[in-house]
Formats: sequence, C-alpha cells, structure tokens
Amino acid sequence: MKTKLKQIIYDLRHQPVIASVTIFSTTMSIFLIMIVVMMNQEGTTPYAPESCRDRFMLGAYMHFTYDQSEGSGSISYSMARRLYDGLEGIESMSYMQKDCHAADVSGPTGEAFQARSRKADAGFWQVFDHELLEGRFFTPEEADALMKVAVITESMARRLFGTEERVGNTFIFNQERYRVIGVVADHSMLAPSGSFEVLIPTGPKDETLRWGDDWGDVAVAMVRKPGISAESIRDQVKARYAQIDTEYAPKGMKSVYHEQPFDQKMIAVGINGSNMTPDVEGHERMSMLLYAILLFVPAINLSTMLHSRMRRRISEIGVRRAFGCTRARVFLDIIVENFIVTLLGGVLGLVLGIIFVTNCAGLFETMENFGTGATPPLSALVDWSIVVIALMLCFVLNLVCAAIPAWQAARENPVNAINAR
Amino acid sequence: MALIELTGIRKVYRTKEIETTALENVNLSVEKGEFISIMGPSGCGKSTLLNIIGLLDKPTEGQVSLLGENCSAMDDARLSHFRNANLGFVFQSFHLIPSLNVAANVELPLAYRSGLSGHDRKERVEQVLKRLEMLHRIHHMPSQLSGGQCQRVAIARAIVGKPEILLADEPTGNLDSKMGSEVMEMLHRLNREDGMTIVMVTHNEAQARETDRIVRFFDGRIIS
Repeated sequence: MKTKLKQIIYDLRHQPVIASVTIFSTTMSIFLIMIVVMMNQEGTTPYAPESCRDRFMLGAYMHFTYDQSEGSGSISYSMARRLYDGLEGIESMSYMQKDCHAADVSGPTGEAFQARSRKADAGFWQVFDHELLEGRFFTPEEADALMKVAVITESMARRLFGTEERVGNTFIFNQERYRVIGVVADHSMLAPSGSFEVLIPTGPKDETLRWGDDWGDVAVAMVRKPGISAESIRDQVKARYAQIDTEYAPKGMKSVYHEQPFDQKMIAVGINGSNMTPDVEGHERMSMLLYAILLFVPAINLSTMLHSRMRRRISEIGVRRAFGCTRARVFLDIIVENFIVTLLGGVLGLVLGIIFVTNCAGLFETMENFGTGATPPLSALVDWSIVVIALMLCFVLNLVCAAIPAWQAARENPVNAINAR
Repeated sequence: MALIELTGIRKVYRTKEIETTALENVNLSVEKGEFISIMGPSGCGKSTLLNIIGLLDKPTEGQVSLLGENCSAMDDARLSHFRNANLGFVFQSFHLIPSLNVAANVELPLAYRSGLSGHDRKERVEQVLKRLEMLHRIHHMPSQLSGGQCQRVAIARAIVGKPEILLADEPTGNLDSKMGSEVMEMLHRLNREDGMTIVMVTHNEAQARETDRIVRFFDGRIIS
C-alpha cells in the first residue's frame, strides 16, 4: 500500500496534468452530484416555514376548453372556494396569492424600496409555521375586513424602522399606509409557498385578486391530516370539476384536470404553466440521466487517462513482469492504485460539497431569489443516502472503466513492455 | 546436466504482411557456473535468444529447459514464479522504476516472493547494496544516480533474490569505459564467488574474451 501511495504521489509530481485531471474529474463528479441532489432536495424536504411539505398541497389554476379554443390561468376566490372549500381530510387551509409580488414600500425615513409581498387569509398561519417574534398574526375578522395591517419579517422591520418600535408603527405599501401588527423571523426564500417579507390580509371581498367570476390571483394552500393520501383529496376535487363541467356545459366549456391540488413533489418539479401537469416522472428521469452523465463521463475519462498513464509506465510493468509479477498481480495492482485515486477524488468531492453546502447555500439562495438568505439546514439540503450511493457507484464505474486499460497492460508481452513498444 | 538447455529453437515474428525469422534451429547448453557471452551484429537475434532463455518470450518451435525443468509448457503464473526464483535480469538501459527509491527498486523481486518478512527483505536489500558499495545511496531516487550507479542498483536488483541464472543484455552498453569495467568486474565477482551462471549479450569483443565462452550469432543462427 505504501508503494502504491508513493506511485500516486510520483504520478502527481511527474504527470501532474494527467494525474490531477483523473482526481479532479472524480472530485467534480461527486461534488456536482451533491449539488444536483441538494437542488432536488431543496424543493421537497420539509423545513420552516414549510415544515409540513410531506402533507402540503396547492391548488392554483383552472384550464378550460371551449368549442374552438381554450383558456387557463389562476383562479378567483369564488372558484377557489368551489373547488377546495370544505374538503374532507384537510387539517388546515389558506387562500392566498400563489407567488410573492414585488411591492414598493417605504418607512418613516422615506427611503423607498421593493419588498416581496404576499396576500393571504388568516389560515396562512396554520398552514405555514412562521416564528412570531413580536406582536401577533392577523385574525380571520381582520382578513375578511381587508384591514390595512401587515406582518413583516425581522429584516424588513429593521430596514423600514431601524431601531424604532416596529409593532404599531406604519409604513407605505403600494401607496397605502399599513400598520405593522406582527414581526416574524427571517426565513428561507427557497420556500416558494410560505415565504414573504410583507404579508397583507386578504379575503373574499378583495377585488384586487379577482379578474372575473372564475379568474383571479388566488391559490389554495392546504395541509392534509396525517394518514390522508393526496389521491383522496384529488378524488374529491375531481368530483367538483365534474360538477363545474355539468354547470358550464351549456356555455360549451369543459375543464381539463391537471392533478390538482399539486403535492410538494409536483411543486418542486416546477409548475410550468396553468395548462400543464407537472411532470414528476419526467423530472426524475432527467435527474437519473444527469446522475448517469455525471458518473459515466468522469469514468470514461478516467479510463482514457489511465490508459495514457499505463502507456507511460509500460516499461515499468515489463520490468515487474520480468522479476516475477504475474499478470493477475499487474491487473490487481493497477485496480488498487486506481481505487486509491478514486477514493482520493471522491473524498475531495465530498469535502468540497460539504464546504459548499454549509457555506454557500445562502449565496445560492440569494442568487436565485432576492431575500433574506436564511439558509435551510444542511440536513434539509442533502440526502446523504443518495450521495453515498453515488460515491459507491462512482467507485464501481471507475473500477469497471479502469479494468480495460489494466487488463491491456497485464496482457502486454513483457519484452514489448520493457522496450515500451 | 546443463543448467540451460535450448533445443531446436526457432522464433518467427509474423505480421499480416511479412514473416521474419529471428532464430533458426538454435541449440545451446550452458553449464552451471559458466559465464558466456553472446555476440553478433545488430538484429541477428541475440536479444531474442536472451528473452527466450529469460522466459519473457516463447519460441515458435523448440524446447527450453532451465535447471532441468521443461519451461515450454508452463502457464503465466508458473513462468512468473520460476523467473522470480531462478532468474535475474540486467538491462542495457537499467530500467529502474523512477517512482521508487534505490531500496524499493532492489526489493522489487522479493515483493513477489512469499514467505519473506519485511525485515528479511530489508536485510537482504541492505546486504546486497553493501556488497555492491551502494548502501550509502539506499534512499536516493534513480534520477539522483549516475549511469554506473544505476547499473549497480540494477545488478543488486537482479541478484537480491539469489537467482541461479543472471541474464545481462549489453550491461555496459550505456556506460563509459571506466564504469563499464567496474560493472564487468562485478559480474565476474558474482560468477566467481557465488557460482552464478551468467549469459551476457555484448558487442564488446574485449569484454566477451574475458568470459568462459563466446557464442557467435549471425542471421538467427549460431555460427561458432
């Protein structure tokens, strides 16, 4: 083993490009797999304020076909209630804006800037677990009455009011004055459904979220009771679609059902349009393809590199054969040497990945979204079982790919090998 | 019984286009303790013969017997073990492994031998390096040695396993005359003191004359 380590160190010093690329490709393979795993995990692993992601569902859109055309988009409050109100097996539910919107805000200092704002009813606080630092959340009555109150995040409060009192203080939100009634802790903006900087109450009377009888800017966030399946919820919603179809048939309208309400896996895959069903299976296939590319490309590269390294060392192999090394031993030695190189690269990749995840996830978040940069915990971002499987697969693939040049080197005629022909 | 017995050796190299006969009906016996030289012009088959004696290459026809054993039918594992136990090689270009220091290079044949502890191996390496006056270079890398020193280390590697037969392919070919003389003196000492059987390929007539017998080659045949 000592001799093999010496050989690797020698290779690094005397064939720095080949040896470094060999190690680097494995490092990058494991590192990039960790990043891809992290990006996939980030969308589905529960963390505050979306701690119930395993039971979370979101209904947001409607898609109708007409005689000669079709239309789709987000729904109005009344349509949302028709589709989702009173579903059995739901623990908590909130009517809200699906996405955050950029809004102009300014505090007592007069400095105006943009904030991520969202409107929601009082059910929001049951669906999402925000940590209340000061004041209180708004009540159903305040929401129904569309009171000019707001709950804001701590960093937003600091920016608006500095060291002044926050709760009870007022600020301008889209040209209207709102009073702060609560301050919540900063949270990750990677949580697409539950995040905000300014939360404003909304209710059925809110005409700003209504663009007609059916269309508007309302989504329904809900958490299933434990033990209730997503399918049982969808079955109920499907029945309501059927009712709507019966009612709308005289108008020549027929709904297209897109597996709503979406579960967290579908949300994580990305809702690409109001007339589309998120393709979870397709996304998983793409992820597997990506993992395969990330594993196979370095392995094939390694095979080529190893072949080149073996050609440079062919004379040495011939000398070893002359002094009694069997073909099997030559093969085994090369495989073991390659295993050490792969192990080195794999461990480096793992360390690099951990460093990135622990230090740069916040950066990743602020690059993707402007916001607090509050980083979800490492455990939420990396599925270690996938990383370990990837590492193992990387070893196996590298060894399989190393076997070809190793076998070729072992089969070389000793005389030709010694003379490096 | 001869230590090396070659009978009816023929070696033909075939490619798609041509067929080249390197050795034709070579018969050679070398007795135990003999030091012979093989001479002849370039390309006449000297090195091919040495490779066949060293079991690094197989003849197209004929039989190779070493130490009374018919080696022609041995498989790769047996050939490797036989080489390890009974044969030592010295090459014109030394062929030291550049990534290993002197000690590790010399230890190489012992690494493929079972039943020797690390301590035993180290002791043997030190003994042989001391004998060849290279002990002071034991931790040096090959790149830090002169040509003569490299060849001494190569000889140390060849004899550390105490082989019966030493095969030397132009061992002084890459050395100046002084270094060449030193190496030749070493080979004679090994032959004299240890009774080692040596087969040496050389172009140097004077060095060849110092050996027990000269086998002259021309066009793949022994001519005298």
